[in-house]
Amino acid sequence: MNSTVLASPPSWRLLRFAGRPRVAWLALAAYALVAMLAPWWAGDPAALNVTARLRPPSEAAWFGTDQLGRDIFARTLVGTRVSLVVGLSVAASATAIGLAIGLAAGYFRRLDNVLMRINDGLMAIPGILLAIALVAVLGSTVLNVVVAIMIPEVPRMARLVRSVVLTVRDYAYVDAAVTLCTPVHRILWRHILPSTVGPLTVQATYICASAIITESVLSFIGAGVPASVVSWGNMMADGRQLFEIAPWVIFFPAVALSGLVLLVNLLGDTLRERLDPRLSRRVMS
Amino acid sequence: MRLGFVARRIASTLPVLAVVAVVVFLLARIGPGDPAALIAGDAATSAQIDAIRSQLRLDRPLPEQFLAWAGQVAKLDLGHSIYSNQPVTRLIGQRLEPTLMLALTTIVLATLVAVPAGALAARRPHGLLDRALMLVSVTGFSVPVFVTGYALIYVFALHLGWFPVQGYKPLAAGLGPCLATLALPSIALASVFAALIARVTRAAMLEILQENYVRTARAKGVGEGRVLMVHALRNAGVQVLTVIGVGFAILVGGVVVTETVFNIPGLGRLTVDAVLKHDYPVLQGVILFFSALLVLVNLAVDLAYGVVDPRISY
Amino acid sequence: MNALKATTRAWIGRRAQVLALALLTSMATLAQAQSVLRIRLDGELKEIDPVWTSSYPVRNHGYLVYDTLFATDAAYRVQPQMAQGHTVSADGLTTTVTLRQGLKWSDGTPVRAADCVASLARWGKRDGLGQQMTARLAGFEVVDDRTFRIKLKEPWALLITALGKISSTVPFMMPERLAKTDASVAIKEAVGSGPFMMKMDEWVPGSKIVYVRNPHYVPRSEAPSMAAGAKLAKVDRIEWVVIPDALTAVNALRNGEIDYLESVPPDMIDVLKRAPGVKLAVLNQLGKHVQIVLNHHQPPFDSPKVRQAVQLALKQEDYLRAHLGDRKELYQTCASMFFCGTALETSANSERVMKQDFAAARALLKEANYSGTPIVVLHATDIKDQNDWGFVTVDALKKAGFNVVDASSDWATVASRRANKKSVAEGGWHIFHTGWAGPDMLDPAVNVFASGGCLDKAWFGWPCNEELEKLRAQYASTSDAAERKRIAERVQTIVYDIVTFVPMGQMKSMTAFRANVSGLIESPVPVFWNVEKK
Repeated sequence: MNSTVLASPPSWRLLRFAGRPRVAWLALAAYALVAMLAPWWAGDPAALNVTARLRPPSEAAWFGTDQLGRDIFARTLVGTRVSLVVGLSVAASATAIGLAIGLAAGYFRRLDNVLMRINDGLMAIPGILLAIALVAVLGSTVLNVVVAIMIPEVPRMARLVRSVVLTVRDYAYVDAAVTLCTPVHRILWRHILPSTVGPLTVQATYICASAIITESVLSFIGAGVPASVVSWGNMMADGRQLFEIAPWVIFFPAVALSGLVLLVNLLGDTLRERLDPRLSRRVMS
Repeated sequence: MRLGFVARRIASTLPVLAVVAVVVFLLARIGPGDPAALIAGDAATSAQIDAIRSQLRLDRPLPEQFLAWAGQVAKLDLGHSIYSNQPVTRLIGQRLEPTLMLALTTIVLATLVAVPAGALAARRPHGLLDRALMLVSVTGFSVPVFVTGYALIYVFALHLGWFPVQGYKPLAAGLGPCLATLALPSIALASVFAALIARVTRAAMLEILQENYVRTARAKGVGEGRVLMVHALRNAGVQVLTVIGVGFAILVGGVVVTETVFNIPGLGRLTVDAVLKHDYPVLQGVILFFSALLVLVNLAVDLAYGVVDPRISY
Repeated sequence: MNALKATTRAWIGRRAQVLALALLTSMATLAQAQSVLRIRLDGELKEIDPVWTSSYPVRNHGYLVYDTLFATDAAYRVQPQMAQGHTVSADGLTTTVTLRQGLKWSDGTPVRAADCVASLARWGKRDGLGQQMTARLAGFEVVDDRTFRIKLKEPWALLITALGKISSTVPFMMPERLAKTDASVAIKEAVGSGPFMMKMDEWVPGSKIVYVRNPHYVPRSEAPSMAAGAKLAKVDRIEWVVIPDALTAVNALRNGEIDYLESVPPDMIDVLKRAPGVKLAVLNQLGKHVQIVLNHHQPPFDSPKVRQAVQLALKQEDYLRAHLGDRKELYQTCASMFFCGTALETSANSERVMKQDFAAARALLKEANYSGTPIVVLHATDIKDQNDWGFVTVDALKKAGFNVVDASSDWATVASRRANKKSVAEGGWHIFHTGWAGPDMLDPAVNVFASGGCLDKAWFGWPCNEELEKLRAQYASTSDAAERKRIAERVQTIVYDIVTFVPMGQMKSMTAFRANVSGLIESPVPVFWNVEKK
């Protein structure tokens, strides 16, 4: 381990470089703004009007109407909320839990074996199958969808944190801290945790993007958020029978979804490039 | 290869499978939706529903149910579907071929496209080709599979009529017809998988192309093609293998959606149907099967590491 | 060189011979090729026992494989089918049925009266009308291999009508050994005397069900008329292809990968009309109703005024248009619980049902002291029409002043939750949607919403009303048309006062099929005899 390269934890440095590219950041900010303001500005996403079903985009309805006459513009804007909430919640919770497990497994050798076995077991179940099954079992609410998508993401995060911890544990400054009888929680918090922040943030970003897509897939299959919640996934599930006669029902939420996921993935790429490529590859395998 | 290592690696899969079994079992047992009432039908009385419930042993305590179930699984008896009453293993067997064929064609297609693309992009980092490739691959990643699927159907099946809209013709009907039905689904799925492979290949190649031995090879006057293929790619093998292991899990998820869109009677469709009908035995059986497969794939990848990169020893 | 040419010529000659032979053989095979009809029906075949379950897909399977003693013709009269005829004793208590000559099961064994008796006994335990028969039954008597008697304790005018019932649960005839299976257990074999037989070895559950012509089927001589008459199998093989996604099914029809689609999603009708090689028709003229079912035992629905407020809150047009858009030829508002265009159609007491008046609804809620208890609406989102109707209901109830909970889930969950008689906190419900089809709603005897049998005997919702039960018994014991009409009107008056359910419109669906398919029979149930494919 070339510890001179990593004399100081790289995490704070990386966040400073995350500033570029500007355009992507602006776009993401736009999405967030829309999510916050939509309910007041966009109009009522649930207003039925069966006499105006499946109207193409026009003056009255900028994005057209769906099979119950609801305004797609309003629904697309309001749908941002669910996607962002699901994405951020899954990323945050998977990170928090994965961090806890990874720290414990990486630092305490006795826990490592047990935790990693359970971890591997969970990882062995294909994520989407586990998510589908969990939603089917727990019932269809936004909270359950978040939990269902989060659980399959935790093992990978835990593994990532654990490998960082394993690497950093042997560094000179950690050794020094141990020799000085620093309490364990201090070692974890001040010396080890900061090294995980970099890879953690990158992975969390990818988890966010993946969660947003998974939510739409779950809704497409019929195991996602309840129908009364406006989500892009639900909109696309509703509209998929209609895509030949009313493609706008799928088109707008599909573009919005793809756009958001693209931006988040780009953000993840940028963050990862800023990190020392060698370190990132070694710890993320 | 070191037999001890192989044996140890194989043995380490057992606790993993045990954890999977517990998780899978618990999944199906905790939750609303009464399969007994569903099977009994609309006209049933509560007495009839109760009779069915005890018939299916759904009223016994959880640990007893688990042990009974685990014992059966060990004998490769995955129970019977609540609905069709067919043995789950038979259902899986019937649906296996389409899913395997789809997965295979997807992996082959994705690898053939992505590995050269990633390698080429790595030659000139941040150049035009590289940026273009990265953008295309991120897009492939970001657009959901079913959106791609429907778009492909619209253009290539409905308008141009080059491929069938839905369905699957088994291998027995001929390789040509079989591949024709798999063309669009595998392109849709491969768009995601290829994106993943391309990125990893590019990243791995980027690192390797800066290594000393590549510079030496170039200095020696070795052709660019040979440099890429013989020296660089082989060393990238570890990374690419890793992504195949990781990508397999993503592939399974994509298969579920793709089979729904294209009406391919594979394991993905079986899963979705089982979930919506709360057909627990089938759900458990399929998840167990996929998990075992994933464990096997990872095992193979790990063992392959030893072959591809002699420096790696466990 | 010449030798080489000679060998080459010989080589070519041999190849040509082989080619010619192959061509001839394939042409011969083509000439003898099986005609295969690929159909896509709604739903999926989970069980194959059409007596044990009343579900429509299983009933449709039943019509392919089984036959009935009597059958309903296009004029809704009951005709003998497997029976040659029947006689009724002077006191009306004994009905003697004689079977036609030479009837056989698909395994070649002859059909005997004992088989029919056992089949009737089993059906009599599962079906509503069958249970009414069983309640009046003194016993069956097998006279000889072709004759049997049904002995009742009191006269029942509906006996033959019941035996010729066209829709669920249909009294299909099975061999005695299968019919002796306990009524609460589904049979696993399909042996019938119908025009086709099921190929169990080619059944891929959830994907494909295969039927081939039944060589032992003995048809009648009359022309086919709905479910009656000759049931000639004019195709060699039928493949029921399971395609859960409606859009995929429509595309499959367009591409010729299937030949028949039972119901076309209404929004795809125009697309199919434009498609070459595809024809559309309404084969089921009776159609089905949208029905909103109320749970009489959960507050606030234990108050009749609150239930009547629901009638005033809902509007039939909204439900019909949500599903069918502007396609007025496919729907009509209908005040009658016994369907419109039928013998017992009536508009008795239907004022509240037919109008939407939010003010009046709110007034009723106030009178009933409605305190804002949330109404749980079961909303199945995986079936398109259920999905749309759920939204319409929630929207309308909110506007009428109700506090509404949209409990969306998949249909399977709805189907199991609606059986829950407990309170909402324990998984109960207030409202769900259903769509019973015409033949099952025609009169007070079969119409489940005419039952006031309370928690024990009524259908989900469990309304309690003794007069309804008396009226149904009266209906069953009279065959006078005027009397029946009077009873029907009285039944509807009560039903619309206590609100066992709210009918929300009558609609038909279009069937689509390839242009080379002909002979499809107009009927409320899809049947495939007489169908040819060129």
